[in-house]
Amino acid sequence: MLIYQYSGGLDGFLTAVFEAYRTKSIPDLMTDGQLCEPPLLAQIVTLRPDEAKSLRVERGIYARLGMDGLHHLGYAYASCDPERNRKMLYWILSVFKYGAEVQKRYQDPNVMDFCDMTARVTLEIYHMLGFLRFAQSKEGLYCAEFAPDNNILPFLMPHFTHRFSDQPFLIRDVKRNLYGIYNGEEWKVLASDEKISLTPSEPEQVFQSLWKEYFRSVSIAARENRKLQDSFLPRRYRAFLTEMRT
Amino acid sequence: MKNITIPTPLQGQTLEDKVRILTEGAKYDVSCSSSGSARQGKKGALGDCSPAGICHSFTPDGRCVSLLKILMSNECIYNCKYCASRREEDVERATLSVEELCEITVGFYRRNYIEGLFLSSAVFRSPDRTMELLTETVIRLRTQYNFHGYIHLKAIPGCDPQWLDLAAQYADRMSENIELPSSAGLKMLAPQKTKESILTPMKRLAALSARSKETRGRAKILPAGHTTQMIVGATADADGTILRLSEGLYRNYAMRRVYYSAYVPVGNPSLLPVKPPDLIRENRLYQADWLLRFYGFQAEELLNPAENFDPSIDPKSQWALTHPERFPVEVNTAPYEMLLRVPGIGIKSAWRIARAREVSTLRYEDLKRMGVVLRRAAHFITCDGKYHGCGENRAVLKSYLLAPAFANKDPNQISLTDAALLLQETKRSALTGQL
Ligand code: SF4
Repeated sequence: MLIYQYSGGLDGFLTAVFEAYRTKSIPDLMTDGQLCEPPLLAQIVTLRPDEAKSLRVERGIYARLGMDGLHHLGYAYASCDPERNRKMLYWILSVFKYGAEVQKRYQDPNVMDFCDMTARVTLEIYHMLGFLRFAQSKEGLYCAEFAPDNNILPFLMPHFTHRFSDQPFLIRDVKRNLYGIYNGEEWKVLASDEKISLTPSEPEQVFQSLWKEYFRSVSIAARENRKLQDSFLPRRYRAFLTEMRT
Repeated sequence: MKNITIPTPLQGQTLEDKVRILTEGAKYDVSCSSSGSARQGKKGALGDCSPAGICHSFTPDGRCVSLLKILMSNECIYNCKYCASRREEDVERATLSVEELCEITVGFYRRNYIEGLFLSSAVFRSPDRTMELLTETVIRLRTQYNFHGYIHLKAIPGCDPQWLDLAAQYADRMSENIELPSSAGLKMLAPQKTKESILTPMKRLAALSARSKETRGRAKILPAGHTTQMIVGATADADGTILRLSEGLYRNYAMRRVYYSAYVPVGNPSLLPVKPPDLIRENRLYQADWLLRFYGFQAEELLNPAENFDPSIDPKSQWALTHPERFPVEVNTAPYEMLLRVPGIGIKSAWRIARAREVSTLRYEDLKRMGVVLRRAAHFITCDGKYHGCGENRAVLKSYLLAPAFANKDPNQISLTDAALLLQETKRSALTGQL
């Protein structure tokens, strides 16, 4: 059994992919975690991130698929799929083998596994553009908390900085302890264990109760269909929705 | 940062009361979508529009909440029989000021509750005065609040067209409800409205949205076009008639969307049928509407003017069943337009098939992964010459195409749970357009 153990995030992963491609030895497992109990007889290759190598992989993808390909790569790496690394590896190998044609290979499981995985990430990004809720603090800062399945905070920031360009805000991924911060000029994402506890502003309470009133009133009782609601608005997202809190 | 003032309610009614009353009055309007506009945000301004539309929540009835959909007032001088705001109805009345509407919209938007505003109103005082205040709200939002989010404005029937021209410069979308599918229906249920009072402004909106590519100053005119809505089930008009009307609106009025709303009884006027809203019928109409807009179907292929859709089967499957001479089609060579007509193949899977078959000949096993629903499609296709279907026996075929709630059952004896199930299924396909 061949195991690639890499470090350093996407760069490290792509370095490992480069090695696999160069040496023509496809690993059975790629991991950036600790192997507490490596399988007997496993051959473990430890790799450090090497920018020159990861850049060559990225350039190769760009040459065949353009910016689209690199976007897909980014979304895929944000996935929480336990098989993420394997799916990414086989997709990248397919890109190098078939070139731009991978975009048409809907009959190819290696391609479709990857596409389905990135589609789940982009769907969650799209959901969160709508489901994120901001609350205004006494100091005037707008804050939102959420716990997404995938690591999507960085992908949300451009949308919200664009939309709320005159409104400094903060988004916290409570699962990963990440903060996305926008100060009215530029944004960044930081890791921190600190919790936020802010006092809501006075208008905040007014708007929250107006919104709850609106949400109650807009539903049509004669058409109630909870199953339909559940299928569009997964229950695990509801803890953070103002209108779902009593 | 801009100071946010708390809207102060008039004495007696709280702001919550007004929001409740005026939302109740607006909620049966179904065109909630915020799609079709790409209004650019600006540095230092508030908001932009996402061309795909964004859902911010889903209510217990499973509908998407995208816009603050509200009436400015429900104090109507008219008396349309199907409407909860009509003059003679005994309901609480309320009116929001321009200021209050703007503050609530912006306050909701900044918290990411909504994509924007869908503002409508009952006719208070006069059509002109009503439209003037609606227009003022939109102008105030755009100029004073620097708001670039989505705005859908309802055109008030019978108002001076100058208000429409003005409002169109600031709104993303406008709509004029056609209300009832026939003028006989209008005469009976909405005597103050005539076909002309509805069609004249609609023509104006069609002309305005035809200019949506143009810009005046910096703002585009109605970038998301215009739409309409009709109430289904309050009059005797058949689905075949309704569908022809929609087709005419798409062709001749540059209509972006026609929305259908199963009549929900309000109050108790004896002129109207009192029965639960026919949601399955509403969904069949939406499915047929998709067939017109995206699947290359014509209304006359689907129904005769006096016919209604079969509730147990979707319109596309119905068409396929009655046209055995067009099937089976070979997925590897059939034109894209024909793939779209196969039950179980939607827009996405047809597109995938068309691309994937350039790479290699498709086998039956390949189709599943592409999103084709083989249980339905198998009987209408061949893959590389091989047929996997059940043959041409129509009764057997139909059993594969029935909505699951109806399979093996007498369609006159459907339980409520079955109906909910079916609804979930048809609603989903109406929303995503995958048939
Ligand atoms: S004019 Fe509009 S608000 Fe007034 S009664 Fe008729 S439908 Fe209702």
